[in-house]
Amino acid sequence: MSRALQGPPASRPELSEDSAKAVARRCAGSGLADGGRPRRRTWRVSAAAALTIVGAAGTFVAGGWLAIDAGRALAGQAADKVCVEGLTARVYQEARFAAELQAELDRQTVVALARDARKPVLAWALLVCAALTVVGAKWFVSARALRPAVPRRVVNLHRRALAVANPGDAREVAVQAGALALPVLHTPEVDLQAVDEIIARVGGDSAAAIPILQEVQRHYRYLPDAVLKRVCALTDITPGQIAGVASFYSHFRRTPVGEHVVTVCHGTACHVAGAPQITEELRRRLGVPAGTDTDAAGRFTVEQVPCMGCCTLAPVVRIDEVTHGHTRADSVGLLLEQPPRGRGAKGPSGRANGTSGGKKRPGDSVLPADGEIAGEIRIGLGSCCVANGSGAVHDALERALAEHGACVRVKRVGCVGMCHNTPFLEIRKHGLADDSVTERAGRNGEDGAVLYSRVSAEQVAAIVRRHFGVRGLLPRARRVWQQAASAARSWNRNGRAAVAAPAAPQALELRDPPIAAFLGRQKHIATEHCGSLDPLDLDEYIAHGGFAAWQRITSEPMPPVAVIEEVRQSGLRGRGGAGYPTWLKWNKVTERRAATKYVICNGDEGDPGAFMDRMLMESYPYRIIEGLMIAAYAVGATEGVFYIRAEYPLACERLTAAIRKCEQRGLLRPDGRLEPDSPEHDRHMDIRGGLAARTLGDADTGPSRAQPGLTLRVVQGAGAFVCGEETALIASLQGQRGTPRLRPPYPAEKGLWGRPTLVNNVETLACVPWILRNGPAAFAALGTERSKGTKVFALAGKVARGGLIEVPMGITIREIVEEIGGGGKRVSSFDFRVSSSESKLATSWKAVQIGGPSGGCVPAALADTPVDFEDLAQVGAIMGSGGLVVLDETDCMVDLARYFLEFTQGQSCGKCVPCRVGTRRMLEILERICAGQGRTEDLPNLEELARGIQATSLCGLGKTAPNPVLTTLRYFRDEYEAHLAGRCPAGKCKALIEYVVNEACTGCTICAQYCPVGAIELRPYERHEVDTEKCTRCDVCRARCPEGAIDIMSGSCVCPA
Amino acid sequence: MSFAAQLCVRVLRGSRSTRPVRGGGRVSFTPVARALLLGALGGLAYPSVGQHIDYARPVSAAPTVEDIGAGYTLPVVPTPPPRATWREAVDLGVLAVGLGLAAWIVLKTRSRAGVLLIAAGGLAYFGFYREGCICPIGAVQNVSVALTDPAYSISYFVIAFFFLPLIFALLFGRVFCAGVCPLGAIQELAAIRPVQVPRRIDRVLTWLPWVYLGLAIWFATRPLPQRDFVICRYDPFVGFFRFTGALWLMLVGAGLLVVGVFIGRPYCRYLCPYGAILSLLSRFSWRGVTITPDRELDCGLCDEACPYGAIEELRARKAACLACARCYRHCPRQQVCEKAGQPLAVETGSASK
Repeated sequence: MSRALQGPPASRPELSEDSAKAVARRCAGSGLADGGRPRRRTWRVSAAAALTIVGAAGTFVAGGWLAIDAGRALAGQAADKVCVEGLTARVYQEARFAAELQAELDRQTVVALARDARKPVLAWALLVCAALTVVGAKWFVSARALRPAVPRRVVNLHRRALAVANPGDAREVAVQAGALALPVLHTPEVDLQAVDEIIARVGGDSAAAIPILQEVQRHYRYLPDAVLKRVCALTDITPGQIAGVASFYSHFRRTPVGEHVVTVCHGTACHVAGAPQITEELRRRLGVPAGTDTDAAGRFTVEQVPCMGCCTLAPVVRIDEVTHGHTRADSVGLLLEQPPRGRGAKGPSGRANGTSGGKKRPGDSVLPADGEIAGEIRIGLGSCCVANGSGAVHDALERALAEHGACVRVKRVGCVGMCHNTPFLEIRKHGLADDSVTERAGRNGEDGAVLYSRVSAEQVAAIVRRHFGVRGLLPRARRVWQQAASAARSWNRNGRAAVAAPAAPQALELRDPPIAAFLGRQKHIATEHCGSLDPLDLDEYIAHGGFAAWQRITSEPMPPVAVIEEVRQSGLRGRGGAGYPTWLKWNKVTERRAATKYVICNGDEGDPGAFMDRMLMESYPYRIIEGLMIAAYAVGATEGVFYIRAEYPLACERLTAAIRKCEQRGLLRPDGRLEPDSPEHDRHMDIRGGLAARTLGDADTGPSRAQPGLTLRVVQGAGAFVCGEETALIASLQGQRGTPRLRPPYPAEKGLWGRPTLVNNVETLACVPWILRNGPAAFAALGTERSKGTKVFALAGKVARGGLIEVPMGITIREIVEEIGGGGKRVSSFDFRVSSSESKLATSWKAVQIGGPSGGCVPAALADTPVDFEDLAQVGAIMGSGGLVVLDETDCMVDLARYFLEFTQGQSCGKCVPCRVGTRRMLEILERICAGQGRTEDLPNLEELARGIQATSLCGLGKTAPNPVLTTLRYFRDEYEAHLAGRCPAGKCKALIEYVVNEACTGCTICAQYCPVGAIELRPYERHEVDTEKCTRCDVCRARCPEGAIDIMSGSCVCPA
Repeated sequence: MSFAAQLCVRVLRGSRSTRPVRGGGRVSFTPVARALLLGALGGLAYPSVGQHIDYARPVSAAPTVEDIGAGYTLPVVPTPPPRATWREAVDLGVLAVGLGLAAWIVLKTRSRAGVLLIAAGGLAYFGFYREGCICPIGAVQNVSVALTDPAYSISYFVIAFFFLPLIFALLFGRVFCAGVCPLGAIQELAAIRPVQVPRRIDRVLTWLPWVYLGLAIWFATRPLPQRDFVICRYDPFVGFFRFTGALWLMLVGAGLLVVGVFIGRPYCRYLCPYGAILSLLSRFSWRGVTITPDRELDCGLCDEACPYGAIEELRARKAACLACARCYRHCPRQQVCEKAGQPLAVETGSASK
């Protein structure tokens, strides 16, 4: 055991003196379990030693005696023989020697007999004594070491955790291990050559400020001052504007960035799943000083982003360009050390940044020229699917098919919505009707398509073999050989399943209760054909009814008023949050007389916890384009803009590609960047009249006489939540700080560049083609009295089945959470813990956070509230953009209110005082309460402030910012009061909790092995203890403990965990 | 042979499985292979039992008493009386009971002391009382001779001694080695301070028993004048049981025991030919030693617990596990279960989660 402590690897820092001693003491097994033991052990040790000595002595005596006897017998044999022979010879000569001979023979006989008689006795004595020696020695050994020695493996893990507990060493370890494995990103010197190129490419008017800065940042990875000066010199942008813009948007960095960027998602779902602990652990491990985001050596930058839109994989960490889901505070360090997961993990999203052209995209599989198509394999490749490994599965699939030789089409499809089941494969043999999973589920029918969920890359080959057989002699032979090899491997391994060749996983069936419950209540309008459409295949979209609405409008032709009338009849309301009737907005823009009008698709979905807009843009770009075309037709606009968050690179890429394809088909006018008042512009306005003449068929046969009148472009946001507000969005599009302004005038009157502008949400536009294709009555038939149609929600948090769902309005929150989501989920690292507390499973959720930072928390008691704009407003929440995060009793509502306020406070543009100062004061109060220093008057103060901010703020951001505080105060006031009393009932607020080990501890040392700060001493087979002084409340020990032996104590109560 | 059988099973099953199997997951072939092996054992036993022994010997040419004449009388050959059948039955019974007891102690009560008691019992009965004969290790030779030489008569009890531990190995792993085998028992008792053998060396040495087994079968199946039972002749420990034997062999035995104080059970792991067969069969065993009494924590405390190199990646390797029960006290779950007084039931299948 002392070897366990010898020679730590040279690169590893030495253990501190006292901890080394402590480990040594444990390793020596000195048995401190109870006080009485040492004396008893001393007695045992001496007894064992005595027994061993006695036994050994006996063995020695008996063995010696036997040996002497044997030796004597051997030595005397010859002499005796000589003696007898001599006497015998004499007897022949003289008879008198006969007696002598007789005497000699008698003597020898006696001696031999005595020896023979002694021999078994001595042998048995020897045996007994040897046995005694063995028993004594074994006893001695076991009495000395009461506890087994600690294996090196365990000591090393503990040592490693301790080693990185020192920030100075931590950087060394991380750099040594991580930097070599990660590709080093190039940080260029500030040469101004690139600036000129960028400006030449992007343009030099003041509206281009944001695109220019984005390009600059992409090139330099931050905004160097020299570059900004150069930009001002070359363009119309003033230094004031550029400073304003660069400081306003959170996407822009003013300080150099580290070689590697580690981004931690701080969305709602990630926050409740432990993102703060992960950030803290990352900063500690990488040695990032407080107040900065990059370590001193400039190797690592740790960033926080509001939301990456991978809420069902929470908590999410992105390292350079690879996204990792389901991380934990103790596993992020390993992520830094492991080599990047190659192409698979990076996959499509990794390449999303601007390199779409040229190379073959994933999903565009090349079919062999000969042979009939045996079938199709569909794989969802949304951003979050890729983060969960779909990219790797896709690559494995292509490899397997290439190896297999089957003529199978691999089809990249959009999001299926079942995020809890990704990576998701659908196998369709040739000849099946071309419909989607959700459509079949709606019919409750099965058609032979086979679904696989949570497929790993290793299983893909087996799936392909199962469905498409093995063809050809050589592949068959190879397969037999592979099976033999895997049989031989598994044979050596005591049946550890992971080692054996992976078999195909179990197939899902739509009738399985979880699947049926998840899909059963859904109604797909905005997400129609989900899971069956290739996002960028225009022909397929048209074949599935795409552009039918557009064709109907343009071929009849329908006057714009008729289009607006149909939208009015459908009862469609804006899906961005406030629920303003869409037709009213359209009508306002139509009524305005102006030469130029704009339509803007608002894809700046900044709320933490919401990702449906991203999914719609990634999966159905043509549907949104069609919606925007119809809207532009209705209001008479000639130019349209997609304003998309920069955090959604794949959405930008796909929409850009889709716009290009539509332009090629003649559906859209290529982007000419018309000046609003140019004569050319007026000419294009006339074309609008000619639109009616053209049909889709013309596009295929040749250039139609009538040119399309709408041009579309994609503009990336720069990370400002407030830009979701329409006036701020417009300001941002004009290259200014994204600050809202007073309304009226509304954008419908004076919008972009002072022209009438229509701003609609992505989801609103996605519903429009369906309405015009199926008629307004079909849409109005769904939903409630005041809210029609469906709503897409991003369901995440503590539910069993998270994902993207589209449900009819009027469905209750309980139905969403319990039927579709499958009720609360116990987040735990070990399955058996779940089974031991299964009674808690179904009912453990306590609230739903709806609508992100502008929304509110609806308690489980109000779960029967229908999803409806007015009903939700009544309970204090808003529909928002549709983030729906389920919370359970381990989520602290005060902390959640603080979290949201921290977000809105950070996103406040600072224009109006109530929002800028008021939210700051509220945040201070909430931080105080969470730190356990709350005062009695804090709660009334909070309420008063909240009401004031609601009443007097300029825009929606400020008006709704207090919502999370007000709803939690209303429904969870007891939690606030508990905090004032110094207790956090959910066990989340660090200042109010401590970790303790309960009596269930078996001394397995796992917590000590993984505690990143060495707050738990390694004590095998004994109850461990957490050093509260050292403990950082990172929750690693509790998550790791297989026995549920670690409690979070707050006050004198054990918190639910 | 069993490898080929498993291969056949895999190939047979695999070619049919193009249809998706609901509830399938990974199909374990171990039960199938186990059944096949059981059948194969039966097939092996049948020819050795059912052989026809031809007593027709060319005695006509041999000289008789009359030929010799001169008042010659046949000397009375002092043949020791054959062991009574009931005594042989008792031996077999002791073996069966010992195997059952060992399996029960190793897998159910999980007591190291119990294993040591069994070892002491095995050593006393099969070692010192029966003087190392009859033993399944040597029976390898009898069985192989019986299979090849039609003129060789083999006792049913020898066959039973050969097959019983193999059947137990298919059911419970190498419980015979745990303490029923006197050679194993004497080494188990001598292993006072065993240390780990480097894995690579251990892996190489593990092939030695197969070489020894091959040699033993080859010598045993040679025609009669050259026939030799090398396993019995060079048994290193039988001299201790009989208090007699070739001095050099006893010195080798003593040397093995002295080495065995530090390197656990060298004969069993690196020489015993019967152990090679047992390790092969125990790979397919129905139940085997699991380090934890109920559920696996993967805490790593048992990492260095096994002096016989049978713990790999924190799981017991059935092939190398000699069922000595040492690792049990390294598992933190063991003391919990003992304290709680729960039955120490070992889950199969799910235990290796």
